[in-house]
Amino acid sequence: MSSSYYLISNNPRIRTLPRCIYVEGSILDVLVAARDKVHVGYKILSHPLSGNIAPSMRIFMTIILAQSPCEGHFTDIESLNVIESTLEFCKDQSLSSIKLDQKVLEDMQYLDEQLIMPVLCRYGIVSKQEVCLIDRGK
Amino acid sequence: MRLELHKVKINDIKWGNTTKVEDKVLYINQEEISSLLSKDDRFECVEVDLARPGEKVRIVPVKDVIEPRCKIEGEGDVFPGFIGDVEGTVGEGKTLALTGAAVVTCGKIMGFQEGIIDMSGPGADYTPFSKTNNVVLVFTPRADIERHDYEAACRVAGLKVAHFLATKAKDVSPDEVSLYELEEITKRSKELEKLPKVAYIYMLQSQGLLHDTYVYGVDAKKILPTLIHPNEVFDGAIVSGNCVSACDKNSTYVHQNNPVIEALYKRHGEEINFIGCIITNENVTLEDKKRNSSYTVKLARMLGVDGVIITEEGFGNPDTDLIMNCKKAELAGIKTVLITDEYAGRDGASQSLADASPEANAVVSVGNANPIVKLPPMERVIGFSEYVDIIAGGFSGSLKDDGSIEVELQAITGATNELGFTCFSAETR
Repeated sequence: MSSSYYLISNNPRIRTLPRCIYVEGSILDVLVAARDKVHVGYKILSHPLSGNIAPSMRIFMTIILAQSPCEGHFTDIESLNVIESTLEFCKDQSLSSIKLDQKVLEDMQYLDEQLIMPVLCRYGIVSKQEVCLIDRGK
Repeated sequence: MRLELHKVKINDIKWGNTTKVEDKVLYINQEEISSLLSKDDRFECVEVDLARPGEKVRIVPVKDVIEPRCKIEGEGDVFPGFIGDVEGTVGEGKTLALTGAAVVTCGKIMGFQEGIIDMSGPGADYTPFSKTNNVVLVFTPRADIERHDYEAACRVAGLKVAHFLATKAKDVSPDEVSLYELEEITKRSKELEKLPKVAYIYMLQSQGLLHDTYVYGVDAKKILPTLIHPNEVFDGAIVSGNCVSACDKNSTYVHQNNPVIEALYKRHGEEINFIGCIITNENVTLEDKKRNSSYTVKLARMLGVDGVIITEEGFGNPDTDLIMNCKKAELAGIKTVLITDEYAGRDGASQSLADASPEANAVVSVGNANPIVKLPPMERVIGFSEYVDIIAGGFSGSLKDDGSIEVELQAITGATNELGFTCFSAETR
């Protein structure tokens, strides 16, 4: 994996991937951590709301960032706008009081991983072979 | 391209010794349906059930809804890439549709489940599929099946049954024939040329498992924006890859009956010159969003249109695609009208979309997905109601002891459909 990438995630299934900044917390904590990286010169490669899961139901989030090609710490305004508007949108949605059993949590982790995996593959962060294995749940 | 849609009206659905259509009644032979699907070893079993309008029946969790259709004249067959071959294209000739009937697929693909169709009561008012006579397929997958394979199996099974049912009415005289014809773009009359040129930018959800759409069998996340004839859409060229968000994932039925295309056809030659449809996708990466919105607007410019209607599918990251399409079109001098739903909180006071722009100055809302609805208990549940707590829009305690449900509107299939295929509307004159 290239050293110019970072993954920020609160999804335990993503935790073991190299250069993953694992966040113990909610999706809002993931967004804030990603915003911090954007402020120091990273841009986001994947939209934070990767699937069609209501923020009130969303437990896991993974965001991929890449170092900006420019030298120095230029803030990528487009990335910042996306992160900020996503934060506003998610803050507005009341977080669900739902109690999820382990099986459902695992499914949600799986879905978050499935939605982000093609992006990891696209940018060469994981190999196609690894994606294939993960796709098949191995 | 000219398509005749032969509509055979179905007023009732009953079990029968053979599957047939007689006197506007669709008779279903359970064994015939089961045997059609028995070759697919991805299923442990498939139960077939019937649900009629007005019955005290709840169907949950719904994955897709499909209108039974088949070709009776013309190239190929409906649902090309799945049922029909991809040699040739669809959209010409004659197609038979069983209007008033639908195939509803129901299965547990993931731990959180979508969506609800109540055939009566207050929930029925919110879904168009409480008005159709439904053949419901309830899938139980083989234990070791992988989820992508299971999703594909559900998708294909629904299409197979929908096609099969329509073929049983090939000898029945249609109750109505609708004609859809658009002249070639470069060979239109001078009268038409005087009217404003309008195209339809048709956004297709394409983010991954349960967020996908297929065009001629091709995963829409792998396409560049392209042109599609509206008649091809009526012939099932666009198929839903099942859903995680019931209220605003376009089911296959809604694609087949796209009301935006219907409305554009109605105004063609009167108020507008309907140029055609540009399909585009809603991928996860910002790079794709940028590329595909630029490419979509480039196609619109090549067509020389004055205005576009843009429909979104889903919410969240597709809001970014919607706004990019809108902004780039407006900056290119093309007027836009957007159609979307809202996630504005239970009181409607919160931010509706995850993105916005001053250029989005003509927006049609199809409704807010967050308000709470109370659904009374039903006499019969088809599917698996124990999952109601874990559908989008459900919350802890959603399913009461008496079988009633308290959920956000987004749990109801088609409640805020972003093509406008909905039951409620408000109009100002």
